[in-house]
Amino acid sequence: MKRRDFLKYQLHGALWLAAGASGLVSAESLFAEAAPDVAVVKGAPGAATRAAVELLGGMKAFVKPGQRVVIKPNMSFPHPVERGSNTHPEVVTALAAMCKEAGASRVLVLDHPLSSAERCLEQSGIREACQAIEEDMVHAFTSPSFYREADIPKGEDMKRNQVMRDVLEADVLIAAPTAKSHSSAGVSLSLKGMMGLILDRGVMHGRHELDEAIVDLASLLKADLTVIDSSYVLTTGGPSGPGKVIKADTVIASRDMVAADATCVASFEWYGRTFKPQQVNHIRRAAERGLGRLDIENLHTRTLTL
Amino acid sequence: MQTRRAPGRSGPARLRNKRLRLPRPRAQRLVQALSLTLFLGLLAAAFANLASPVAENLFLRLDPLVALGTALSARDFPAGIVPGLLVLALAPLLGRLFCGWVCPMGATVDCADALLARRRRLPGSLRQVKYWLLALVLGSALLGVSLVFLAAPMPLLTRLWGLVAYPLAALSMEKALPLMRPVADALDIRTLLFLEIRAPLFATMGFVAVFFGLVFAASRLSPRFWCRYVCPAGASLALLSRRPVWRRRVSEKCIECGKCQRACPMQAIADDPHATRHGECILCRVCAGVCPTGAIDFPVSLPVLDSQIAQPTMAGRRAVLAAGATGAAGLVVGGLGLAAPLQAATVRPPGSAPEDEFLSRCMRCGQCALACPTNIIQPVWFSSGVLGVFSPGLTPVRGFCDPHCHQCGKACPTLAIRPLPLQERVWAKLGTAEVNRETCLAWKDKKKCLVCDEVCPYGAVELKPEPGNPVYVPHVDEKRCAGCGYCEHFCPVRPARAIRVGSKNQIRLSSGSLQSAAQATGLSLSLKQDKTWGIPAGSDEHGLPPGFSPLEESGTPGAGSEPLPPGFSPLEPEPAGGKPSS
Ligand code: SF4
Repeated sequence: MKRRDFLKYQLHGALWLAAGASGLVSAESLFAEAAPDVAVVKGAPGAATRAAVELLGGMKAFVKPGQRVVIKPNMSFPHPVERGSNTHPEVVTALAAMCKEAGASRVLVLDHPLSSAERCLEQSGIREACQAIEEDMVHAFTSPSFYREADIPKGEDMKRNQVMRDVLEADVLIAAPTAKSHSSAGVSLSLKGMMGLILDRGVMHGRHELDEAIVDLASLLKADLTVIDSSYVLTTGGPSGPGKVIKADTVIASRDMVAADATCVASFEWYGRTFKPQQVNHIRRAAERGLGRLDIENLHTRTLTL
Repeated sequence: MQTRRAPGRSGPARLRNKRLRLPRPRAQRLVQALSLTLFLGLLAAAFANLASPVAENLFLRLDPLVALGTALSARDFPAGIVPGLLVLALAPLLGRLFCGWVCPMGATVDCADALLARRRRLPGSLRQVKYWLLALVLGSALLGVSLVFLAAPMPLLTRLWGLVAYPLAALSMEKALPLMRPVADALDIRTLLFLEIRAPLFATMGFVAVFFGLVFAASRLSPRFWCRYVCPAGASLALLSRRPVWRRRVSEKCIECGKCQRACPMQAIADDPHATRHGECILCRVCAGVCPTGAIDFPVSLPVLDSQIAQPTMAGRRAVLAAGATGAAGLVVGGLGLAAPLQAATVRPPGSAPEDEFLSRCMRCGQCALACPTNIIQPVWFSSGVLGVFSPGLTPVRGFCDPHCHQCGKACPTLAIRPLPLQERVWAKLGTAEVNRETCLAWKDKKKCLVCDEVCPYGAVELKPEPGNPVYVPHVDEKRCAGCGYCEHFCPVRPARAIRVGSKNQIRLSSGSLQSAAQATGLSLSLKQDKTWGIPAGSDEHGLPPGFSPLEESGTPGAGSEPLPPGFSPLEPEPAGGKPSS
């Protein structure tokens, strides 16, 4: 993203906030009442991301000054954003900018690519976009030296794996997946996305039961904030595409990974049909194992259109 | 470097004049050092995929034996070998200047000599070995078989530095990096913090190391052992260096003390110290440096007195012919039996010429392997026949072949691998992947996996429902599969991957468009086409797309007879697991 565009959407977010303060959007309803469990905002990716996080109480509620933050987007395919296999760069930059504003000492954007790291970083547009905020923020690690063996205390099937050391050392973890289908897990959202922070994801297919291992991993890498970029929803042919892409221009945010994923499943069509979150096995198992809630009908969801 | 003999062992000290104490011939050392540095720098650039203003494979192209052997065996003069032909063409004028001043193999051997060299008396007839080798290489090249790799110096040296020394250096740096992490972290030096060092490993590394161990150990026998006795590229220059224009001359000041004979690293000075074996002389001018009377100089002049030429034993010439014949005959016999691949054809890098042509062009320098950013290119042992040894093959276990990358084509000087424009590159059909249903997790264990589908850049892995199996299973669409090896690389099954690329239906051309050839056989190797078949037809079991399960209780809203997509399951009686709403 060009710096100018970046400023533009920053401005967009600011305008929206100003609108809120001036009563165009009821300020009370935004900030006075308790933060909702899930925020669903329709609008341009950057502005919608800002708005969604504000609805949840603002980035200050998640990031304290001096903390280290890792943002985990999808950027492990060398494809442009319209294909729906990577997170929208503007969602990532909005999050990174908010973290810096909240006083984070170090913000890193990390993923483990499934193709040439260089081309993934370039084609996804995320590295270039983040340059506008800070140099050298975005990395796609493939060398084992960036990973460290970690126990998964709550793991039922998978009890160990090698996790990116910068993730283990981070104070705050933000999941920023793109909404997409997945040929074996049904969908790939925040829970499944954590597989991009480990070295050996092969064992999650081979040695372990995939759905169970996804939940095991999410019990260790539990995101403090989940922001699902649903600007381009890849509804078939995921995770790499190409497949049917719906331009939904939506951002779904929650403190609860399971609730965010569940909301996303229920919000869009998949393979041309609608599904309940519990029809995706790993999301159901995550809820059963207490990682979060999928009974979205009982959750407080705030919806907003910018 | 040539060892300096203990000065003054022969002759009284008063004979030592200034000349003796002069530093070693500086110009030669300087040029040699620059040349080695350039060689190493270019190789490092290729190794690290850095852009270089000079062709990274320059030195390979300067090798006269590579040029001669390839031209003969491939019956072609690719532009890449022109520099080597120039070196040959200049030999009648400059003699073996290349060996003494330019060749990084010579410089490397000189380094080993500096540490190890001893002088022993070796029979002069040993010198003929190099002519025999040259004859063998050229004789077989005439028959279309390239044995350049046996002893051509630049390919060998490229393998030493590029496939052994650099990877080991990179590996130790990779191991050392984490030690610096605390400092980098505290000071937030991100370049250091996130420095990722590519440490590729190569098959046959051990062989190359042992081979060069022997080459270096030979320093104990004589300085420049390799150049004196073995190097067939040197031999080819020697044959052309009978009367070089720039050459050693001995004046009447010579007192025949014999110092120059003993100091000459190449034994290029005959029994009569006035005469020079110009075919052996590498113009290092060490002799001029040690001569106590300053009788030796190296002028540039046209006429040569025959008395100043020590004729190489004519056996050298005869050997050439004899060995050529023997080599050729031997190859006809041996080649027939041994050249046959031991297993199905090797999967070669994209743009590789048809196998016979490929082997006649490939000099096994490893430049493609060291330039490959994913390490998928590996020297093979005997999978493509005894004569295919060390040629590059694809080993997807170590990497994947990125359809946008063609570093190997850029690296190859002899067009064994043709450089392809990106549009063509995507259409390179390297082979075809095949699923092993006996080991595939989805086929055998009915487990969710399908990593192959996830990673395939061509969208060639089709997921299809299989009766009695709750998960979708992978099928390879051969028309879309390019053999790039992503699936094999990422497949989690061990020890052998459950999906493997073989050479089946590979398309290899010496010229013309790969795209047209592929399309002519009905292939469709596109990176962009939709994976529409991801949506299931809808049987009882597979009413759902991959990953979805049916809603388990009938009557639950949303659950119907309608089949479910992959990864989704039917709804259970109650929404499971949710904490009660507060
Ligand atoms: S990646 Fe390997 S094990 Fe997994 S589905 Fe594909 S072939 Fe089978």
